[in-house]
Amino acid sequence: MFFLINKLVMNFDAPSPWGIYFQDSATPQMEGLNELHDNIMYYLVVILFAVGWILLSIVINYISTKSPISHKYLNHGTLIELIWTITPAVILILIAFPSFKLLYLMDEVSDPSMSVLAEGHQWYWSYQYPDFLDSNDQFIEFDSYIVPESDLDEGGLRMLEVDNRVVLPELTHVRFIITAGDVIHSFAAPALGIKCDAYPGRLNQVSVFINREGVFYGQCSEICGILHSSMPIVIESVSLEKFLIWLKEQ
Amino acid sequence: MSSAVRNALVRASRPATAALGRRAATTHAISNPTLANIEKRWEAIPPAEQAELWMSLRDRMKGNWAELTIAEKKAAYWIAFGPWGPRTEPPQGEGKKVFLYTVIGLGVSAAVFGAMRAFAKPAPATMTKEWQEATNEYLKAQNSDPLTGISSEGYKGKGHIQSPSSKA
Repeated sequence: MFFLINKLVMNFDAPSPWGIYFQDSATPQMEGLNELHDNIMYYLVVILFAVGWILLSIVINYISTKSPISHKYLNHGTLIELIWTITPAVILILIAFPSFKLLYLMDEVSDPSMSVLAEGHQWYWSYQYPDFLDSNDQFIEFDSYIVPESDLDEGGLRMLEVDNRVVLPELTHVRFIITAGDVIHSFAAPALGIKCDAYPGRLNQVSVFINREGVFYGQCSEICGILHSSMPIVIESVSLEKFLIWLKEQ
Repeated sequence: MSSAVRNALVRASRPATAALGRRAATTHAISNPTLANIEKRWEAIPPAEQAELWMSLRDRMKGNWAELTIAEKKAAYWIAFGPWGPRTEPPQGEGKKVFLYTVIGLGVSAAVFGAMRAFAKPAPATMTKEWQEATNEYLKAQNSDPLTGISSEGYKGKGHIQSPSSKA
């Protein structure tokens, strides 16, 4: 079933029309989120069919033409009440364990090889690479604005392309330090499994280990004003060699 | 000592128990004229009298149901489950009226929607088959979705194509 959905309408590294599943994962975090989703979906489907079956059987068996008088004096059914209290509690425990496990694993920032500071502004992102210096001995930094529709190259993704992409090496532990310069924004890239609020005057950090080359699209995910939808995020993952070439060009 | 007390208590309680049984059994049947044509009269009866009549019926039903008269059984059933108050049957043509008003509401919504669309900007340039074909090539070039999507082995989906051709 999921295979069929994937083939027909799956969301990709770039969102696709009518996509209803996750984008292809590019980090261990996102793989974990995919797995957690499928795990919880199992319980949801079982519950949906169980409750649906009970509801339908009640409607069929107690329809007013068949059974005009309801049982007015039925007060308690201790056994059934125990069952429908304990069963959901057990299911919630079964869901909670993998959920908390993943939550704490995702929160771990394991000795990053490099950091990127992402700062949200109305309505663009600015990035800084504090581990690398440019030709003027300044930290590498740049602003990243949306490419307007009129300037798109043919085939470009409307409302998603930017003039300056964040370039990162693959298979490298990268730490994003996320903040904002004016109002609350949120830095999100679904294929990487990251979504982190950007608060003015506060630093949040999120760890990323991109396990393949590619271009990953995201968007600001906290309503931040009139052009909230016009501050996309594009992260390009390249080989270490290409990354070093890109650094030299800055 | 305790057995003597117990016997005395049992003896003392006997007349009272017997009287209770007799009282429940001899609650008088409600007269037929009181219950006659109750379906027609019920909603016109003042609430206090309704309550009194229902209490009398309830007391009667606490005893042996075989002793209830047909009129009492009919009245008790009708008061509990008859089509009055919240169980009143909807007036003739109610369903058609609801359907009609719903259709009118949807029609008005469609008209407002159509009017808004008429004054809207044209669709973006990206919403053409040609552009979306170019998008597919662009995504393949940057190896997007290598696991299950457009750059994956044996992919047969439409990718980003969802719009008619601009030449059409």
